[in-house]
Amino acid sequence: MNNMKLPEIKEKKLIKEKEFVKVAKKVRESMEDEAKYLHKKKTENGNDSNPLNILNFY
Amino acid sequence: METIQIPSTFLTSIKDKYLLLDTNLFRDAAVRPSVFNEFFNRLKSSGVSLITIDLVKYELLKGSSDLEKYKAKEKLINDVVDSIIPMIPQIYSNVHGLIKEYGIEGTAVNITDLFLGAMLMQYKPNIFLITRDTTDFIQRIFDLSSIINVPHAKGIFTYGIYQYKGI
Repeated sequence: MNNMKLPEIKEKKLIKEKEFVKVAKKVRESMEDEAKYLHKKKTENGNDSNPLNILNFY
Repeated sequence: METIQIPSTFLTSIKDKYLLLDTNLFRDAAVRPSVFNEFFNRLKSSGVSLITIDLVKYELLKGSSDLEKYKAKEKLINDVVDSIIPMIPQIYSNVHGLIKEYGIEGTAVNITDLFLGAMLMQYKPNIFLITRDTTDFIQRIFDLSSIINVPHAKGIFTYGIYQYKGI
């Protein structure tokens, strides 16, 4: 079953914090938009399917 | 700065191996980028390869409110992972096997999680999964190798580290 090998990764690239924080901010904004959209849809049709509970924690 | 505590036994067992990241890791990293940046870099520096699959990418990318945010998500994933592991035909066959193993307990299992489980089956013992969705990876099928707790403003996020139990 486990006869295949995963690709060898010779050089692992470290994440640059400053750039990562900037990108994360944009992603967070999108997650907030998505959570609002899902909440609106849930209110409209009573469908309880919000997978983004992240906003409840922060 | 706050850092995520990684159990030393886990670091030893995963050295020079692969850690498969579930979608919630990327979402959590977006919320606390400095903390997760340090966590991911510490793993990489310890010889761990961070990987994921396209299905995880799709889960994160869908719903992006505009192209700029879509690209930001794509960059976030690409910055973190060392490789996206391609699907091979055996993975699909493993998913069928897993569905049979889960039986009734697979009723509510997320499809992406089945594929992550199939990757664990395929590449055991060189691969571990980290996820906050700990209910989909039942311990009848997967070994809970380690637990990582990350405190946040209103509680604690608990991540399970799993390996496939079977042969």
